[in-house]
Parts: sequence; C-alpha cells; structure tokens
Amino acid sequence: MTLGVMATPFHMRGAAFNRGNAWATRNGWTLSRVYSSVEDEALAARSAVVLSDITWRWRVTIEGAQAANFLSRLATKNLAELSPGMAAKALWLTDGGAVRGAGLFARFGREAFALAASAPDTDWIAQSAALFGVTVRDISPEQGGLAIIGPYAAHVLRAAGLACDLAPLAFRKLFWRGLDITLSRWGEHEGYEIWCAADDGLLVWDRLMKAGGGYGIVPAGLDAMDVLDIEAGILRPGRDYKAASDTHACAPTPMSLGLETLIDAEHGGFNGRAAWAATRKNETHILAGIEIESETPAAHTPLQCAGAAVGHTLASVYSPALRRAIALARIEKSAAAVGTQLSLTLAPCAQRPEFRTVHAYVAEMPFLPTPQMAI
Amino acid sequence: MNGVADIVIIGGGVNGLTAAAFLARAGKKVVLCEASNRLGGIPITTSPEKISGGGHVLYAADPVVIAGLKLARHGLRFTARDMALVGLRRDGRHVVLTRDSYASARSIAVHSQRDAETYPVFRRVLFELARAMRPLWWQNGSRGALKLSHTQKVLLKTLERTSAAAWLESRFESDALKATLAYDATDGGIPILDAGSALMFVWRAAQEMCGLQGSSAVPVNGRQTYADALAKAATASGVDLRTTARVHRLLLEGGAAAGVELENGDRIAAPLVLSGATRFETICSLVPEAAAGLGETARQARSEASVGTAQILFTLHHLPAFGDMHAPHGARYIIGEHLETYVSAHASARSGALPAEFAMELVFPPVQKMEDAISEQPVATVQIRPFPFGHDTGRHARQMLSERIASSIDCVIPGFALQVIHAAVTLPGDVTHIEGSGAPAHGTRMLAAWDARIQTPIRGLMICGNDAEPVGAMSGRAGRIAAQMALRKDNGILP
Repeated sequence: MTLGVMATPFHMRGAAFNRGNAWATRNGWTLSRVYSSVEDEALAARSAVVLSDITWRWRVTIEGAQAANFLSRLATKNLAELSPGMAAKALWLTDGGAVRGAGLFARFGREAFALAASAPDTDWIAQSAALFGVTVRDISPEQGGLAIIGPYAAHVLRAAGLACDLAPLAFRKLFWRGLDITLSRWGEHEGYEIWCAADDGLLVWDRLMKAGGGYGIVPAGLDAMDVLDIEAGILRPGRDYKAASDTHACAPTPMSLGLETLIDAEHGGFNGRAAWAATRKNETHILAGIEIESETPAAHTPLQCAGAAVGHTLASVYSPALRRAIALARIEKSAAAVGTQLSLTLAPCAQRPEFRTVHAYVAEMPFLPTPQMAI
Repeated sequence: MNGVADIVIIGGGVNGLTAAAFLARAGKKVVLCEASNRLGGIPITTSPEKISGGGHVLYAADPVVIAGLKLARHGLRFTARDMALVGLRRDGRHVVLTRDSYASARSIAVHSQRDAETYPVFRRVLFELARAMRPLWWQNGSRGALKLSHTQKVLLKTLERTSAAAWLESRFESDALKATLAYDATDGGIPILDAGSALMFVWRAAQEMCGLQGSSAVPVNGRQTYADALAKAATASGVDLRTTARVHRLLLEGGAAAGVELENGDRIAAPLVLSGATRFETICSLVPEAAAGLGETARQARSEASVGTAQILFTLHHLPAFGDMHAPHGARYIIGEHLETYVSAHASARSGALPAEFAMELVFPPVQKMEDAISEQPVATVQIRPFPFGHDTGRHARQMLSERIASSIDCVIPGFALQVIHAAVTLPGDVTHIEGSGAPAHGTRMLAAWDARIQTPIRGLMICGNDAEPVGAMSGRAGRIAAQMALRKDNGILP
C-alpha cells in the first residue's frame, strides 16, 4: 500500500489542460476531475472522441501453473475456457454469495492472466491465489493507461499508426514506433485503451493528442467518465454500494447491483455459487434506471409508486446526451417494469427552500451503451 | 478396491476411533482410514530396552467415553491418578500443589505468605466455575444455556479478555507459584500473554479423571493403552479399521461430501465423512480446489499452528534423588523459573528458534516392562512446550536437544543427566494427533458451541479431531459429540 497521493504518468499533461485546477483522488491516484466542462467532455465522448487517464484502475497479474483453475474458482465465469488475447467481465463473490468485486479478466498466455478492476481487493485475491500456488502482482504503479473513447476513437488510433481491428474485449501487445504497448478494446462500444510503461506515458499522450487533432480530441476528467458510467447503468463501489468484505457476508447480492449478467449460470465451480443460487429467488429489490422531470435528486431519496414506498435513488446525474436528469435506483421488483410511474419528493436546498414532489419513470437499462471498460 | 459405507472416518487417532465406535454401535457401516500402520496416533517413544514410555499424561480423557465404550473391559487401567503438580525450583524450595489446598498452601508459604492465603480461594472459585462450564465443554450445549451465577458470569467475561499472565500476576506475587501454574495455560498452544488465555485454567479445572475434577493420570503402559482400548472397542462394534490407508482427497458431488479417495486409488463412497485430521489439513489439503470456500480456506491457511509440543523419553539408570519428596510417580514436575520463561519461549518458537530457556513438564511413569524387554530401567518423559515447528529433525539435532534438556533438568534435579542411558525424541510434526497439534486455542474457540468447531461449509463433512475440541487434547470427546451430531435425524445426511 502506498501512503500519500500518487501522480499518474500523464500528470504533467493533465495539469496543463486542467484549467480549473479541479482534482480528485481515486485509489490513491490524483486525477483531473474536470478539464473544461463535465457536460462538454461527456458529450464529446458520445459524439467525437476524448482521451481519459485510467491509470487509477487497480491492475494485477495472476500467474502460475494453476492460474486458470484458480480464476475459474474465483470468478463467476469459466475463465479456463478464455482464449489468450481475450478478456471477460466477471464478479468474485464471498463464500456467502455477496459481491466482493467486479473486474475484467484478460488472458495473456496459458498460465498468465491480468485483472483490472475499479476497486482493489488485494487481500482476498492474494490469499485465495496462495491456496493454488498462484502469484499475484500489483502492476498499477508500473503501467499507465489511457482510454480513447468516442465514435472517432478507431480513426484516431489509425491516424496514430495503430491497427485497431480488435473484436470487443480483445487485446493485443504491439510495438508502436519504439514503444511496447498493449492495445485493448475492453470498452467494447467505441472505446479502446492503451497500456504503456509508466516512463513512456507522456510520449503516448502526445502522440494520441496529435493524431486526434483532426477529430477534435479533448481530455475528459473523472466526472465526465462517471456520467458515462451512470448512463450505462453501472454502480461504483464506494459511491453506490459497499462491497462485501466479510468472508461469509451475503449482501450486496449480484442481483441487487444489476450485475447478474456477469454470472455464467452454467459455470458450476465458482466461489459462493451455492449461496448465490439459494438466495437469488428471495431477492425483493433490483437495480433500475429512472428518468426524472426535474433536477437530480440526492442519493437515498425515497421513491414512491401509487403512494407506497418502493425504494430509493442511488447516484444521479444530468445526462447531456439524453438531455434530462437520470438516476440509478434500488426498487422493488414489482415496481421495476419499464414505464412505471414513480414520484419522489426533493428535499429543500439553498436555492429552493420548500419540498418539491416530482415525477419519474422507470427507463430501459442501460440508458446508453458503455463506451469505457467500466465495472 | 472400491467400497461403500455409511460413514468414512479419516484418521485413527483417539477421536476418530471414538467416533467410529459410537457410530458403529448405532448400526452404521463405518470405515476408518488411518495413514500410518498403527492406530492411536501417539508418538512411539519406546526405548531400546523395550520399555514403553507410551507418551505422557492424560489430562482430559472423557469419562463418558471411558464408561460408554467400557474401556476398562478393553484393558484401560491407570497407574498414577490425581497427580500432584510440583514446581521444581533451582534453590530446592519446590512448590507442591495437591488436592489438599491447605497442604499446598503450606508449601506455597515458603515463598509467600500472601499467596498461601490466596491460593485456596483461587482454587475454589476456579473449580466452581469449571463445574458450571461442563455443559458447554462436555456436552453439546451452548453458552447461553449455562447456569452461571451473576458473579460467575462476570468472572467468565473477565477471563475471556484476560491473559493467563495478567490473571496470575494480579493474584499471586511469588514467581514459583506463578510459573508452576502457568504451564497448564500453554496447553492449547496459546501464548500466555494473549487475551483469553486465562480461560485455559478453567478448562483444565473442568477435566475429570477417575472421578476427580482437575486431575490427570498415567494409564498402564502409557497413553497408547487408551488408544488401544478404543481400537478394541471399535473393532468389537464392527468398525472396518484400515491402516496404511492414507486418504488422498475428499470426493464431492454437487458440493456435498460423497466419500474419499485413498492414495492407492481406491475409492470409498459415503454420504458422511468425519475427519480426524486438523481443520487446516482437511479444508486446505483434502478438500479439492478450495471447495469449502475461498475465504474459509484462506482463513484456515492463516490459522496453521506455529508452535507445538516436543516430547522426550529418557531411560535412566536409577530414579534421581528428590530431596525430601516422595513418590515421584504420582506427580507432574514443572520446570520453568518465571512467567517470562514461557513468554520468551513462545516468541522464540514462533520465530522457529529454540528458546534460550525451556518450559517443560516431567513425569516418571511407573515402569511397565513389555514382554520382550531386556531390562527393567526407570524412565522419565518430558513434554516441552512451546516448541517450534520446523526444528531440524536429524539424528544429531535430536541428540543435541536431548542433551540440552537433560542438562536443564540437571539444574533442578542434580545428578539427572548422569542417570540418562538413552533418549527418544519426538518433535512436533513427527505425529499429528498429539496435544498441541492443530490450530491454537483461543477464547472464542473455547466458548463456541461444538457445532461451530465440528461442522464445515461442506455438507456431509465434519471435523472430529483435536481441532473440534475447545482445546486440542487427547480426550475422545470431539469424536463422541461429532458422532452424536452425525446420528441426528434432522441433518438429513444419513438414511
């Protein structure tokens, strides 16, 4: 564990663009929150192309003769069947079937994998790996990561001289004009990532900004990336929920976080499977997206349906692409059908001294597809 | 050769044999698989003269097992019972603690008049609490159901978070008494500075031997007799006892136990498996691919014992002189000068080193000549703890150790080293079924219900060995209670 705040390999360039001097700390890294305007940056990611520093994501390599067996036991998908050069998004659960973490598992070779996640879970992964004689090494400080997001992302990469004929979730190691990099398409929808040695960070940034000049590339900060996350219906640990930390914890469940799609029900051997299968039928609340006819509500604002409380909001944001306020919410299954009308009462604030009741509708999820590696 | 059974028991230690005997008596088809070629799991410390040391003292044999399985009929006899606890001092002012509190007090008064007045009260309060704790430690009871007075509840709560060292320090002032009493607190491999280690005194007082609370005894021919009697009882009940049958792994079906596979490839199918191995070994080695849960398996891996117990059998020319003391057979002699001796010994053992000063218990079992014995020499058995795992197991290292121990004993029993003819050394790791193997005891484990120690996350797999006991001991109680749980109709495992 590193004490204090770390600067990413792209910090100098980020600082030059960060006109408002707005910084945030995530996983111990200091990052630009906003470069110019959150709305402009989020819109650019949907309509043009942006460059975003994703070095803050926790990354480890997992290597050993039993690595495939270990990951199949750890993760909710059968990663032993994953082809080298491909990645899969999956969860890892406690013995009690609760979500401990979610991440993207990439296979580099027969016995070599990597995991990228939005929150670290070093103890669990390292202790479990030791049972299989597998080595886990944190490579976050050694590598920098940049995401190129938007409809013109592939154009920018081609202009920079990078072949980007990657299938979604695929990746490839490349030698790029003197630099060893890994190019991945873990953002699936219009999103690519470049991973490079920390020392090469500034060179990679400069090359991409230069290649993207013709497409109006701009750097995007953490806030804009969070807008994309919420538009894609993705909760973030620490902000929207607390990941389970106790060995036998049974909450939060995958269903309550809208993460059941990351579980392969056919995969019989993952940790926590029996508890997950036994409890999922009893789940009463699920994750839903709602569109609101007003400003954004605070987290945990109660939601009502026909006068009865049915749940509460989580993160909410004004979506510049949808031009309305949207929120993620935890609501009862019975009130989660698309189109269900809900109401919520906004608490008073400095600009509005009285309570205000507004309407909301359950929307189809995701609001928009995710262009970044998310989870 | 494949087979089918109702229950497979892994390990032919005292608990495995007890569980097997009780289950077979209830009409179940039981197969017991022991890795070695002999049952009991007790260290073979037989001297060249064929005099069986048979190990050491029984501290916690279960009276219900002894009576229920009629072990006396199968050859269990005791030679020494209700042994006195003697603290040997270098200055010759030994502390002798017997059942007679006032005689004990007189012996303590040589060191401290205040301690002599406190000791009878200390012992009475301890024994009263110990008696009240028996439903939890002797039966499948729960802490909530204990009938404790308000004072006892307060005392129990205090002991739960008090270290043995602090508790002794707060009551007594003489090193002689504190260091003598402290040996029993190290029984479960717990450091005497750990919170909750004071409970060890209560646990020790709650044991009963030959109808006497808090006593300890030496069976005729040593502890192996206890295991032999259990093996006979198990055979008489119809248990299929298999030696040199090491279990390679547990077989699973749909996440539940379905039998075992032996190292020779044989498979025995059974809906219920009782493991006499440690919880660590069972969950981390026998269960394939961390099937008990990654978190649970990793937790077990962290709890592996770091300190253990070593044992030495000395064959002697003559019994050494003890000054004005009589009957050396009827006592346990503790050698440990100060409380700090135990603390530093534990710290050294945990770091894998031999301590500068050993804490040990010395017993002179009455000589039992085996049929083909060539001489009739007296013997002494020494139990040394805490002792590091991973100590050099070579012949030379064992000899060096026995010489060091003999000279340590020589400091309090002058002339002892000269009497030694031969020494047989058993180190932690040589065998797995002796006291001190498995996970260390702690307050939470000691006050938990038996369910928590016996059940595992895998349906149909139970722990019945030392780790299922509140404190690892050669008692058979864990085997008896695991058998009771297995036979319960409501668990739905057995037909």
